[in-house]
Amino acid sequence: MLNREDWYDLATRVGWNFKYVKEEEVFPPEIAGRTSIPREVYEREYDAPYKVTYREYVKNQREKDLKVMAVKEAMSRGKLFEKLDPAYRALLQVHFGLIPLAEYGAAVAEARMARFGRAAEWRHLATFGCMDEIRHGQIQLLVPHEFVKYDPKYAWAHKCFWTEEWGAVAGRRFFDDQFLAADALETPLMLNFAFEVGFTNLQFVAMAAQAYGAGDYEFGTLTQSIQTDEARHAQIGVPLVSILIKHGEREKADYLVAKELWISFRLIQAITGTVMDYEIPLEARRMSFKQFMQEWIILQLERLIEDLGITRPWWWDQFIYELDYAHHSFQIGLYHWRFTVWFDYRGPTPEERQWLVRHYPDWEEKYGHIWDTMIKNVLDGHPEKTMANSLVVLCNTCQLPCCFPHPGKTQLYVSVHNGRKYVFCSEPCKWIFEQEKEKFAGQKTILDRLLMGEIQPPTPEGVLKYMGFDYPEEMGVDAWNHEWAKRYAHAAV
Amino acid sequence: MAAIPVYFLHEEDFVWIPGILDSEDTVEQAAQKLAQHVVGLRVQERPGKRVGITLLEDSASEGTLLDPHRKVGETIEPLSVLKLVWI
Repeated sequence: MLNREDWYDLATRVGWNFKYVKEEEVFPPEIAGRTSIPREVYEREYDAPYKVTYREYVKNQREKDLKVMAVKEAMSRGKLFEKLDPAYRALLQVHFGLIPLAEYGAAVAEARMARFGRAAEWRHLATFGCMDEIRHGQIQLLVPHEFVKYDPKYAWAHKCFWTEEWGAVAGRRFFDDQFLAADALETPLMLNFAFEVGFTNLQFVAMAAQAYGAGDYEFGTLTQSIQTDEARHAQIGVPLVSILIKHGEREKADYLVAKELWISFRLIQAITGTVMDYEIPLEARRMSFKQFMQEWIILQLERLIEDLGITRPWWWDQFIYELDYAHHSFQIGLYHWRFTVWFDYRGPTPEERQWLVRHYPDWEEKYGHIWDTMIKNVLDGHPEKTMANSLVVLCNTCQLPCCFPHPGKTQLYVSVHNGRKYVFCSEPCKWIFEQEKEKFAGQKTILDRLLMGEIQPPTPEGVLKYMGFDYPEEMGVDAWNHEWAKRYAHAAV
Repeated sequence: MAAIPVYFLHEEDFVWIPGILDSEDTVEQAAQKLAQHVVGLRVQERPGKRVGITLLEDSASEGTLLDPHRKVGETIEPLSVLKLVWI
């Protein structure tokens, strides 16, 4: 029997020249990507760091699934879900709402590369990537399915992406730009390189660690298992970045990486940053979101950017600056506008507030007064005032509320295109829009649709119905029923 | 009477929110109506202070404090960017 090293290259680098059709018919630029680099260069120079054969893949994936199913079964028998902190469950609600159908979208993107990637090894790895993402979609629908009997919000694991809920619109925008609206050359730079290499370590590895700390072995095992697949197929984009830079397409590589790193940061600080610093039980927090970003993400990204010769994104200093603020602003918004999302958030207890101040020294100066106003309302017997009585302005690029970076400096940028006014949460989001105006100009945020008369009736109830909330039980509530705020009655903060 | 949509932010708040102004209102009346979406919910009352409206070209500019006695329809265009300030 031959060793893998003896036959791997022969099996995975099978290519041929076309006699009966033209190359652009086999690799139409609209799908395969527009490039001036000859296909022979891709074939010759594409060399992914991670190698895998079909036999190995089937064996490894089977073992992973058996492990995940065994833990799932054990947790189900032990009725673990009922014992989890209600605020911790927000992590599950957010994750399972946004991720499963996105994984299916990623399968489409991987399948596109499996057919239209211009190098045989690229197509080989993308085939496994496609199977990975199908697995991820299925497994992340299967797990929350069992939770639906406890809470209808877990039905949003399938429902979310079919709604016009503003977070779903943001998620779809994020993933569609990487997967469904991208060609086979754009996807590996945006999805595999920028998002997966850059950030999914955070979502899956950090979440796994936090989940174990909170006693949720099912979610911890699940996300750890998924991350082992990510670690493999995330490598698909790395050789392509090098090829583009080496052969005269640096501008394309730099732009796609810069665009997607920024948007990925917006998504991750919104969903992972808030969960890590506010919803994970205090005793289970191993590090702050900022610490994790610094140690696991930024260090790795900076090294990778330097090694590959990518131009450091022009917004890098703003990104570093916002690590102290952006997700704190977003947390207030997700709590105060909780009736517009499908998950349950809460505010910080006095002890958690002290933890926040230790990790973010000017947290009290920037955010204390806003939380104090809501706490006072609870203690005065008006918890209903912890909910907003308005909508928010949403960024026309990232679709998130314009609440960055922090109070006293909250930005709103404006651009006018073909007579229509667009607003943005930041300079990078405005920049992205202006690079691809024709692609993004037709998109409307929920607020745009309301102002343009597309939401009827134009009432709060009409907007919530439009966003997909069919039952009150689907809307977010205070995860602790305001208990976190009542603790301030006796605490000296 | 015309409805004028605007984007606004209270100087102590953390997020931009939309508002609908009545063109026949004075700027002072409009400020009080917009403030109801913020003061008492995320920003605390300031005894002795009232709320004024600053018109911004964009959020980076200082902007112009509007005359509270003028009509909204004479001074604020649709989708203007406004800041509520304590005065």
